[in-house]
Amino acid sequence: MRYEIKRFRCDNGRGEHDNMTFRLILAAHCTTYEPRHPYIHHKNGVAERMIRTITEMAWAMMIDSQAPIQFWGEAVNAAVYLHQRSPNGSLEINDRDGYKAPYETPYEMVHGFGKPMHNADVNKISYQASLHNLGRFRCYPSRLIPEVQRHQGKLGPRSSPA
Amino acid sequence: MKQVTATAALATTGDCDPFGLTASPLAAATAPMLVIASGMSHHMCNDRTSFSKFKKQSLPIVIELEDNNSVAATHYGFVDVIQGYQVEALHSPTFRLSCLSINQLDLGGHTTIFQDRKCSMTSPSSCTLARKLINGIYIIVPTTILLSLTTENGKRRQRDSSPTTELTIEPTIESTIESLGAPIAAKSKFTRKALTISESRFWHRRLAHMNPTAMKSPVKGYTNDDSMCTVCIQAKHKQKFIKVPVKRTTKPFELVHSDVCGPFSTLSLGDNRHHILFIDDYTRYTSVWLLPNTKAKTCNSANQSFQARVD
Repeated sequence: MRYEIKRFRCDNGRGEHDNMTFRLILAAHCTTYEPRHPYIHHKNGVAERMIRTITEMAWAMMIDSQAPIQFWGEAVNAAVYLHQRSPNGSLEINDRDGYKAPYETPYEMVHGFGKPMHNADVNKISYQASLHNLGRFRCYPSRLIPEVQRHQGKLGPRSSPA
Repeated sequence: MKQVTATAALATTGDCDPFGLTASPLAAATAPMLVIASGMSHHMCNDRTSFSKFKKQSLPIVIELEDNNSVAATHYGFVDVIQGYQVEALHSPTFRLSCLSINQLDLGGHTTIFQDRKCSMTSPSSCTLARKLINGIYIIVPTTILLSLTTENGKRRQRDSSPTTELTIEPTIESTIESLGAPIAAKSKFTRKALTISESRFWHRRLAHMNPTAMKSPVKGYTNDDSMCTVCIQAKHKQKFIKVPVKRTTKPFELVHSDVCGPFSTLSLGDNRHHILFIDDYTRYTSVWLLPNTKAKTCNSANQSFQARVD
């Protein structure tokens, strides 16, 4: 994406971020380290709120798909993928002089920043990712048929939907 | 100085004057209850309202107590011992009793005689004070509110023999006013005078450290004390939430927020318990990595892969 991280803000996590290796990684990329005060979680409010947003999206998909709980990692990954490609209300903060920001989603904002403004009517340039590959988050359980029960021999189906 | 522990309770007996303490109603408005003490170097008074000509010390005087604590006296002024007779005294609101120092009386030319369970003081201007020994303490009570002093076991203790004399101070609200000279001038059962600050503090502690603003309803004549109660601060301390609006950045990845979420009770398919989020402040572009633990090594590898994605 050819960006540089200027500042890195996190809570004062002992062990996670507060170690020399992490400082060296940040220093190698010329990033300023900004830990918030310990035990004051609202100082890290953006991250805490985003955790709630992602978790709510993931849990909605988990309940909808009736997937077992060990699939939470997949649900969280899918929620972040969808959040990048969803319109975000907070991006309209960048209004200047009544001019509305042209980007609606984080994805097109990251990929289209500094490039020619897209205009849906004239240029037809859009940095928004294609959403045609999206499918429903769901779970296909299937049952393996033992070899002796396969009526059509080797050419028959090996499993049946549960 | 003697360590005086004072606990307060409502007195049930009403109008009688068990110790023969009579008080002048004229002096009652300003003069405090004074205990005659031999170990004090200065006169002390705890009641701000008793003072006339209240002034601030240029340097606060540090008073060292017998229990190795120390108290700072920041103000001084003049206090009425009886009506028309004043002494210079230090002000310390943390003292539970006001004390009259014999050393200072001696330096001021007074003659103090303890005799026949009475203490009589003669000043240079031939003003004589005489007080009885009441349960181990010589006391001058010119207030309207009657204070009956009893030792803990009901026995009399000599004040010089026991270093810690325990007192129970029971202010009776329905007090008797007996003017000097006249036998019984008025029985003001239902008129409530303004309480002194020390008595108001007793009520504050008695009512489980009630809010001073709310105290005015149950306790008639409650005078609000400006100094904070330390117990109240310790028990009711609350963090003040200050919401400071933060400016959003203007370029992608100028500021990145991060937090670790977890642990979750169920392992994911890759045996992970946590996940770490990276949020760009400008675009809200979010990235997630699943982590098996929150050790430094795993977090750093997630950070490095995020850096690689940004670069």
